[in-house]
Amino acid sequence: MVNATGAIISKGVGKTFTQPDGEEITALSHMDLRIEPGEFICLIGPSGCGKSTFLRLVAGLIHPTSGELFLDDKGITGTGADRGLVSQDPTLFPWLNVYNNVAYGLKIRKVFNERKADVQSYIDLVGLTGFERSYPHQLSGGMAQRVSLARALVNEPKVLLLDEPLGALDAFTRMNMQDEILRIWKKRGATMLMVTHDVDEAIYLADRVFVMTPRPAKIEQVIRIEIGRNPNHGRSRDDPDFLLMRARILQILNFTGQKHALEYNL
Amino acid sequence: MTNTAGIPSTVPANTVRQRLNLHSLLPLVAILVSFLTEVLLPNHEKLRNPDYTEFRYLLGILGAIFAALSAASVWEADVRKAAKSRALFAISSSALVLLAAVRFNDISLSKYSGFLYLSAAIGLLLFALSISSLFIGRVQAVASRPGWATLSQLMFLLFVIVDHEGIGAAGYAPYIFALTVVDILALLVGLLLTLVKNLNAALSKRGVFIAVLILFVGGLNVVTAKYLLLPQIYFPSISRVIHVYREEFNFLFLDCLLNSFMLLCQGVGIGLVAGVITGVLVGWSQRWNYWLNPFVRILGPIPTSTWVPLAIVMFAQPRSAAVFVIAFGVWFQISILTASGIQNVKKSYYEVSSTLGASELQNLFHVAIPDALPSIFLGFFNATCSSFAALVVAEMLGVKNGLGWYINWQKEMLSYSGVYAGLFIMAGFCYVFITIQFKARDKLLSWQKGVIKW
Repeated sequence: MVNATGAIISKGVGKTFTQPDGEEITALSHMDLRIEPGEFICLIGPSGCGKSTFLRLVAGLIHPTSGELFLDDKGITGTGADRGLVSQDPTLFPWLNVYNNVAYGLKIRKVFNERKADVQSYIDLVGLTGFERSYPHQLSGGMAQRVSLARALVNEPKVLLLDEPLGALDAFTRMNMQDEILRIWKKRGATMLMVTHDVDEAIYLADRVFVMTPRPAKIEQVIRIEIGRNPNHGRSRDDPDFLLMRARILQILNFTGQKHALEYNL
Repeated sequence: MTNTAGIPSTVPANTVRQRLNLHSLLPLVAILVSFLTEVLLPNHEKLRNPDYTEFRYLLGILGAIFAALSAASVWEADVRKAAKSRALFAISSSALVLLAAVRFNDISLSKYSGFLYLSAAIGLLLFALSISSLFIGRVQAVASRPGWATLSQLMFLLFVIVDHEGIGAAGYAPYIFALTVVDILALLVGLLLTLVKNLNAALSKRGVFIAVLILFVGGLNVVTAKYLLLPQIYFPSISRVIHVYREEFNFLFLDCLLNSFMLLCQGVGIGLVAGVITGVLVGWSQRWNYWLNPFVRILGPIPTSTWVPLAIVMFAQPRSAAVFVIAFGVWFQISILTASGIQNVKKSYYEVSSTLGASELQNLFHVAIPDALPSIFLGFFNATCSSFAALVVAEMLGVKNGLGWYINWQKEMLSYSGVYAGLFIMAGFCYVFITIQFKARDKLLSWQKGVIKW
């Protein structure tokens, strides 16, 4: 199932931050792009290239200094429940238990009574059945992140913004969570916009990868990942195409040391 | 010990010896020693009537209680099973209180009638709980707690003690007498059931402490009453202090304690509400912060007692002035900590809340205030502690009543037995006040276990 809505259109979006001392820092300049409804996009690039800034712009937490952002044909002027955000830190509300954390969005929008059943079904979806009454401090990092995911999902946003959601997790949890995210995406069909540092993760998950470079902060290249996905999880990590793709992206990111690795691998 | 199959069974943990912790016997020994010194040594205190023997009775009652508790702890396992019958017990006793409340309505009630109504209200609540507990399993856990029954019975008894003349005049004496006997029994059983539950654990931890404490008091008795080693005026014997309670029970507990309690509740209540509102405004809104913050910073740190001259002028009633003096200190502490709690809420919580669809106002009520609650509670705790000091100052404001005033008055009269009697009530009063607060916090802020410690 793919939603017909959930396209993100960015027209010449730029963002400049003014430091306390008056100095201006350009975090993002002239972003022109279109993300199709139901697409899985990964933004990749070194720190300081404006990935997170772009995500926060789409979320409506900050406003662009120039250009315009659209969700479908509506301009983005502030935060809204149609764009869910999951960040690296799960930021669960410590005073609410798992159930109430997940139900938070519904309660805030006063639709909790009609959609009560969804809370449990999303808790089940992220595999936390039985932990409804636990408080955030009783959860492990991976569990907390899954609650955070469920909390964003229960609002059924058109766009899910993932700001390095797996960055703080260990390698095994991380791989599991990647499959989990893919599963949820296939089931829900929302547009996914995910920021990551991890080239493998980007190739494993995305339809298209936006490779960004700092100074000037912009999208260097858009790569469509044509490698086929396995039915139950993402792409095979040891596929030769996978490795080639990785080498290509690393090359764009200008890791000179990796060029030799590329020759080695071939 | 073997069972029928010949396999040695594990020793059951419920043998009498294991249940009767030796530590729980130490206080009994201490009581016995103190009792013997009190009875055998001659009394030398000459300042007043030397025949005060209240200390003996106190030791006797304590001894009986400890003996009963030790005996009951052996019997504990069976007691726990009796939760259901306890609910029935609560029904009967609360029904009695209820009946009493209804019947008293047609006799002229003294000024303490509020007690009876409150007691009846608790009785009624308990009655409803008990009845529903027969049908709903979950309520039963609440209803079967003897604490509630004990409380309502205690209040009822207090009423009987206070209003015994009015009752006698109205011709209800035999009925009341029967009711009182039943209620005293109910009270004792209720208390016993409450105490026994955790007795073994508590006594094995605290048994030595309690024993040493009793020995200390016994020693004090020897020093003051028996050998007069300390100035008699300033260090009265324990019997004399207890005698104050006997003589002035109504005045101390029903006038002074009640007045202090009401004054403190009013002051702390008003201060709490005002403090939370000010703190939220200062912490949340830039504009309110601009206008209010200077006042909080300049007026707040002024010590409570400094306000007394102004308070007298500002308020026509000395009582209002007293409430103001207490409320002011509470207001300052709570508003400062509320504001800092609200300002320290992590920005990311607001961001998450906003992306989930919350408005600014919803962010305040669903994020800022819940997250600031531990800080607000810390302010409340600090404020309560300092409000006890403010209470004593406030009671000097022509209120001429209350514990703080009583202690000062007794000091002026050089009646130090009264001073000590007042001090002990004050200590117990503050302790209970703080304990209730901690319990409330633990209930409200259970989520912060392992997150924030203070």
